[in-house]
Amino acid sequence: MTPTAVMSEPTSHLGRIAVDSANRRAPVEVADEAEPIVRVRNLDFWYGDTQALFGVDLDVPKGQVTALIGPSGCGKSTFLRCLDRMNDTIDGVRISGTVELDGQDVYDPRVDVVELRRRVGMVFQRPNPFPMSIYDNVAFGPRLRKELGRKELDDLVEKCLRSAALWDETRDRLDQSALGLSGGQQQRLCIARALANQPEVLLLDEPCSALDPNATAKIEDLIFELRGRYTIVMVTHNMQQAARVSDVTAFFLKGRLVEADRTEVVFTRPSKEETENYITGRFG
Amino acid sequence: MARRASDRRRNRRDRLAAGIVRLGGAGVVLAVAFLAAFLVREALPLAARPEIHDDRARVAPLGGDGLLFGVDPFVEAGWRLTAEGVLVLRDLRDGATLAEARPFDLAAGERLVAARLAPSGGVVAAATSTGRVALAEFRVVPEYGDDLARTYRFSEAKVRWLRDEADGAPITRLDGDVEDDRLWLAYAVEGEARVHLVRGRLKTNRLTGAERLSVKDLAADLPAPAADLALLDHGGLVVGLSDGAVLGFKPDRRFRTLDAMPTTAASGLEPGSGGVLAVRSLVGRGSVLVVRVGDVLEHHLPRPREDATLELYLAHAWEAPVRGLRDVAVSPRQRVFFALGEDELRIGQSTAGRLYGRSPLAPGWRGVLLAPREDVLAVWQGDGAVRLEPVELHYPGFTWETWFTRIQYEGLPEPAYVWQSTGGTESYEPKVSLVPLVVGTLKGALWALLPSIPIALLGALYCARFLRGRAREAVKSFVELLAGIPSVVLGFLGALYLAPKMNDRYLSVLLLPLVLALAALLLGALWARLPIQWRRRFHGGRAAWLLLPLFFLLADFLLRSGPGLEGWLLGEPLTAWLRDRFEVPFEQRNALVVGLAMGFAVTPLVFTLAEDAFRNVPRDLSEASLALGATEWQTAVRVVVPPALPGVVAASMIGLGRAVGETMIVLMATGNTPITSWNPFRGFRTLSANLAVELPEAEKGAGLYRTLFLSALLLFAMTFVVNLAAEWVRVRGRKKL
Repeated sequence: MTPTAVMSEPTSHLGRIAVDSANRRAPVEVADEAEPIVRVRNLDFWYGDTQALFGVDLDVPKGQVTALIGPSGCGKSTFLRCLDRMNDTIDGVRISGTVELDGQDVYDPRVDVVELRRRVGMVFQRPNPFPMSIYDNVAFGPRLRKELGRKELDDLVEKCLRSAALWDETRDRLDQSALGLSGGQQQRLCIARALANQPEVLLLDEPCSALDPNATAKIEDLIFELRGRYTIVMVTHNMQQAARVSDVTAFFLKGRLVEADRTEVVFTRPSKEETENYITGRFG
Repeated sequence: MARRASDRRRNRRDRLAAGIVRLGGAGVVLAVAFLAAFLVREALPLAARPEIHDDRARVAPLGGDGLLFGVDPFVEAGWRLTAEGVLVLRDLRDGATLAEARPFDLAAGERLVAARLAPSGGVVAAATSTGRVALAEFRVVPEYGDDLARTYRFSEAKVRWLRDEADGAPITRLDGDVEDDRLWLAYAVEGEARVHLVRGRLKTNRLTGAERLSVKDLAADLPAPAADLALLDHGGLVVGLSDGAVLGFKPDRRFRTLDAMPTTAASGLEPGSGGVLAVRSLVGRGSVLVVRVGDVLEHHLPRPREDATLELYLAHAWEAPVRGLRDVAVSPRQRVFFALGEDELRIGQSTAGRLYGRSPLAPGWRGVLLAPREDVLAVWQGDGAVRLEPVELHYPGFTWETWFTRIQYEGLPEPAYVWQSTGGTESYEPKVSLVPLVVGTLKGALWALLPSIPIALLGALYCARFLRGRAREAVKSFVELLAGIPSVVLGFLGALYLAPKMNDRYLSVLLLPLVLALAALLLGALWARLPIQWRRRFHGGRAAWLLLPLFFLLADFLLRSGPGLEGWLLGEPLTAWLRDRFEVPFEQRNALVVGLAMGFAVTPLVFTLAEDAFRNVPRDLSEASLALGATEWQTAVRVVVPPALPGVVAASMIGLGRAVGETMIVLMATGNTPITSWNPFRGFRTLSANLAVELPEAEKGAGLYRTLFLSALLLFAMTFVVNLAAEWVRVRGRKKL
């Protein structure tokens, strides 16, 4: 299935960073007023006494790919983990501000974290399949809720593996250990596993940083395929990657959101000097 | 250049460090290997078989005629008793006659016609041609001359006539012995189908020292004339008939009647049919050996029945132990005998039912006996010489059968596993079954693991997965602190506090885990209904701390009301109720007490290791699970536990190893009764406690000493295997991950 893409001109402004323009994907044309599905306002975050995020405001448009870029330690992963409250699992963290998913504050005490995390899937930097079969990995999420029958589960597993472009490679070895897959396959399996929850938002935390270029290309293809059906927020170190696959780019620096705009705007006409310095490789 | 020098130094240091590390590792392996080798070395002699060194035999003159012979403990002097009633003592080194004694004071023309030496030596029963029978007690005593050369003489012989009627009855079969102030004599008159038992009681006037002997003679009819007979202890006797019957008799308590014992046999055995040639008591007179025509040797022993009477039990039978079986000789110290054939002999051990190797025997031998120190076998040959053959018995009473199979011991009602290593008398036979000790060890470990493994594992899971931050570190440190309690303190606690306190509260103690678990579940259900704002105050697993006061209150209430509860429910304490209703015996120091006390030692150990195993599950996995919308519990059960399982199993097995090897707690809190019973309300004795109790008192190099080393080896092997299995599970599990 291809996203309803309207091909646009490859942006010539991208010449400023080394992008292989042949690989450049055409971004989906999304109206600027695309409805935000996640709305973050004035988000502060502390690890113990160390503040990691300072008053971040960001809207994540529905159905688009949002890339979070910035140097190491700038708070992009922390920000990402705030969206599905994965930071709750860390000792001694504090948070203020609001994170709304579909208008509902996810930090409201009445929110069921378990349900939140079903709606907001997450894929981590290092592939982390469970030491069980490929099938069981994908079926893990649905089984937690015991909603599906055997047949439905089979169908869902197949659908998710297909969505993650892993079906052809794994259809004959679903009952084999997921640990036998290559790193790239494992990461796609983790994406399939996250998709099996039928999430609204998919968070990708540097999903390619542990992979070789080949596997990276496959994941990028996959992200491209998933765009439109899922809202994707991905952290990346790789600016080319952000430029290739994202619709919106947010640049973080020292815990602050410096700039967030359409990707082509950020990469061609950044409004802040720090952004320009970063994407032109002066630091970072 | 300078850089090179520093490189060399660095390399040198690196090699040195590697060497030290390697040395440490090798040292540990060596220490374990040394320990195992030491235990094996100490236990290995048990495997040696008795040997007779026929090639190192020497021959000494003793003289040709006589009824009986004997040697002194050093086998330097030998005596014989002639038909004229003369005891002749000769030096076995140079053949010189040392002494002659005539203790029997025979009438003119009266001769000795039969005589028998008691198995322990020192007592001779002799019958004369006129029908009189006496018991003579004498010893061969050493004397040291001016040059400290050792020479020998007879001690003053004590001769007591137990049948003093010179009626001319031909008495050829007799046996006699002395038990403190009682003299026993059994005899049969040639041609009469009767057996007599004589009891003599000695009363000594304390002022004058004069002895008064009162004699009483009982008789019982036999179906046929006796072929031979032998005394048992306390006046029992066994008669073998020429028609093949072997009968046991026992006087009643008041010595009025001589009652026959019923006869039984071990399963699969039947008494032989051949006519009896000889009946001989083993030392201690707890059992007899019967020689039959047709080369059959049997071991019979009286054993108590439920109604306190005795039955004569055929324990072992051997077909053709030697060519032309004629007689047996017995050891004066243990249940070892020599089956004597025409031209060969064979060493045997009656308890284990073992026969060992053969050795040649000069044809035409007159008698065979084992010297008091069991180091020389003396064979009185037809030519009047004594052939002295060095013997090494080693440990014939300590065999695989005695350690691991049920043994019919003398005086016990049935074959059993018995550990009872020492007794009050010299002829006491050590009973060294390791089965009760192994069972006790496993039972103690089992009852220690039963409460502590679930607590330790659940606690570890809670600590590793649900507790956070400082609370987790605090709990972990506290539990690890518990592991440092010296086990002697725990043993003390178990023996002097828990045992008496639990005595009337077993119902409460057994109900406690159930009640607490129910309370926790109930509270959990209530907790889920509380408003979220309340619950959030106790995030990070601290909610469980609210349970603590509840647990304390519940436990306190339950234990306080224990005696009342048992009285109200059962009408009597649980232990009494179990005894009355189900005949379950109860002892105050039992496996439950030990299980609780040992739990304090095992729980922290297993907890610590299991907590590490749970915590070592990569954070990636639990995060992935949580990110997929799993609850903490689902994450714990589905994602954390499976990969941690090898580590958890390993932790449990190390706990088992600890429980198996634990000494002090079981020593103090079990009562140390070596019984083979899995009943948790009874005590037990473990291998380790047994070592602690008995090794300090075991004679070095003796069978018991070596058996203790064998049990130490067994214990070592058990813990080693358990720990090895734990390591194997752990390593294998890690590879899989």
